[in-house]
Amino acid sequence: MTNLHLEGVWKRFGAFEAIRNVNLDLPSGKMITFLGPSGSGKSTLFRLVSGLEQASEGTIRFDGIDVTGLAAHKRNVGMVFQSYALFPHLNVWENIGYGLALRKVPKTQRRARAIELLELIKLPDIADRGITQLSGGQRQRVAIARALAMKPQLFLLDEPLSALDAKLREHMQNELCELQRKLGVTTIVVTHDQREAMTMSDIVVVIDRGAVQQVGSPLDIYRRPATRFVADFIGTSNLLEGTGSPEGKFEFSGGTLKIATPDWLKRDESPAVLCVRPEQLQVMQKADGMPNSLDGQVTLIRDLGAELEVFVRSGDTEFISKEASGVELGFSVGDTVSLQIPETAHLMAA
Amino acid sequence: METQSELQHASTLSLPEISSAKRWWWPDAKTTILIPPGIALIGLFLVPFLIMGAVSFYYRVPDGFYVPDFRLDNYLLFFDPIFLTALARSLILCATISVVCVSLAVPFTYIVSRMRRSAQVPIVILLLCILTLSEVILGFSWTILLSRTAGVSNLLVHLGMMDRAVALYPSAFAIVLAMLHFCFPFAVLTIYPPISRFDKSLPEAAATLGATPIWAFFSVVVPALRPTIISALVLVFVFALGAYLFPQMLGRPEDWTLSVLITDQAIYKSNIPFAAAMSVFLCIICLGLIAGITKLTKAKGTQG
Repeated sequence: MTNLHLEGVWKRFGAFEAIRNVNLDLPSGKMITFLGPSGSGKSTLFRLVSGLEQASEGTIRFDGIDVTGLAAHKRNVGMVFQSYALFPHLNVWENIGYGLALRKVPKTQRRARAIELLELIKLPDIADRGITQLSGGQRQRVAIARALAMKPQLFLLDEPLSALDAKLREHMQNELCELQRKLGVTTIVVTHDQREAMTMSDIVVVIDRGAVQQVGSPLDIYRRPATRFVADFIGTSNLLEGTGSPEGKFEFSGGTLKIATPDWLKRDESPAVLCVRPEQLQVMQKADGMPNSLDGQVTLIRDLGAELEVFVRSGDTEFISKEASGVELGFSVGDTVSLQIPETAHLMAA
Repeated sequence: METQSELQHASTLSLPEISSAKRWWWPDAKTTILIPPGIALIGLFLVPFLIMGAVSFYYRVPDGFYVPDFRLDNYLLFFDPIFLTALARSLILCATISVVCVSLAVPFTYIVSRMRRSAQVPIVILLLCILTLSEVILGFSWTILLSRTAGVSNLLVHLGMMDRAVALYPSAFAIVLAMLHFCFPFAVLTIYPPISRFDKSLPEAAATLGATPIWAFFSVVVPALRPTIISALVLVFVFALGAYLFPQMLGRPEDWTLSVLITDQAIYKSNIPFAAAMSVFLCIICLGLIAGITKLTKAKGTQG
């Protein structure tokens, strides 16, 4: 179990700044996700942690010990690659035992450890098989076992589930979480799939354009996104640009709303973005004098079976709301409706 | 590839009236394409080879030409210790060239394939430039470079590393050097595609498991590239075995490879039947080696 500490980490490729001043303090024994769109720098940051890339500036510490200058083979990390990177000339147990062989562990012990790990990943009978004889899911498990063989300080997985089909992916998500809890090893998963990040992790690190946008629990990030990017990238949200005031008012082109004042807005009026999640937004038959509501016209109703999406145009903003499916709505496309915005909607600095 | 051939198959099935209109002996499109190269191969390769095979059993008229016959004399000459020594030397020389060449080419290609694209292109162009030079020019260049009067040993004398200039040729060393020069681009170009397609995460995985870059290269990259390396070894070996000019120009008679001995017999000693027998023998050795090595790769390699 290891806590990971990054301080003022930069990575430049020529003139391009892939990672810009990243500071992170990640607790030990947690399931951590680096989440970001492709090209956001999440993979680069991940490679900096593994030692496969060297930081241009800054310090990386494992458990307080500076590992910044150490190459990957001198850091004790276990890594699962997107392509699995299993050695084609070795069979399953030899692959798992590769790291142990480097440390001159005798063959019988290596094999015993490999069998132990194969039981852990629930594939006890494939020790002597060739890599080409395995299915995609089995290869991934073998790659996981190989990464864990050395009891690494950090367990790193690069887009581990992207090559699997949807059903298997969900199953593997659960299994990975279970494995992580059982072993208690600090685990970092890189992903661009926000659902995966939300379901799997204890801590999500949202990365965009080489910088950390927000660090927090999945729920925290969903409910209280720190920036417009986070609100937009994670889940769906209705974003309104306007001005917030310390008295609990939010003014925008469509009117004024009463909103609980966030901590950052205690002094002066300042530009702000209001984030209303679709399930927070209530669409109702038009009624006058309703507090905190906007008038709009229903443009589209989409029944997805489990839930219903209602699109409402109000002024120059298109709102999306989610309602339970199978309930009488009381309005249809083209009707004028009221949009009720709760006071608890999240207001962030623009 | 498989889906493609399936598609083609499906399209022929959907046009039954055309295929049924054809006569049974009329070849289909795929076979038709193979006819010209087939004729060329049979007419220009197989027939001459069979003639050579036949000649190898003919009787050589002393100080004359040869007459059709069937005798094994020419093959029995192989059991002469002089010939056997020449054969062994020749095989050892070619094996040396092949091993040295490929062991230089693999790390070279591996490093080049990991460079920026803009750095790779000039190196590949340079290699292709070597290919444009004829063997004769390469050979003569080396005779100059290795000569006593104008060669590199003069440079070593200037640097104080040698007492006086020496001729470094004719020698087996000179043959190896020139052959390396000649075969290196071929070796690199053969292994370049598989190496550049090679999954870069394999050595990285080895690194995260604690392997130093050099150890990762030998324990992961080389074994994973085994089929490629073996095919390069065979290619260079066969090249070296067939080379005639370099051993002739740069070697002493005792360094001559089989190809030179064959030429010597055929042209200077006008013993065509013996030269033919040696050629057949050389061909059998080559085929045997290739078959043996291929079988060895298939048997041991997990990915064939």
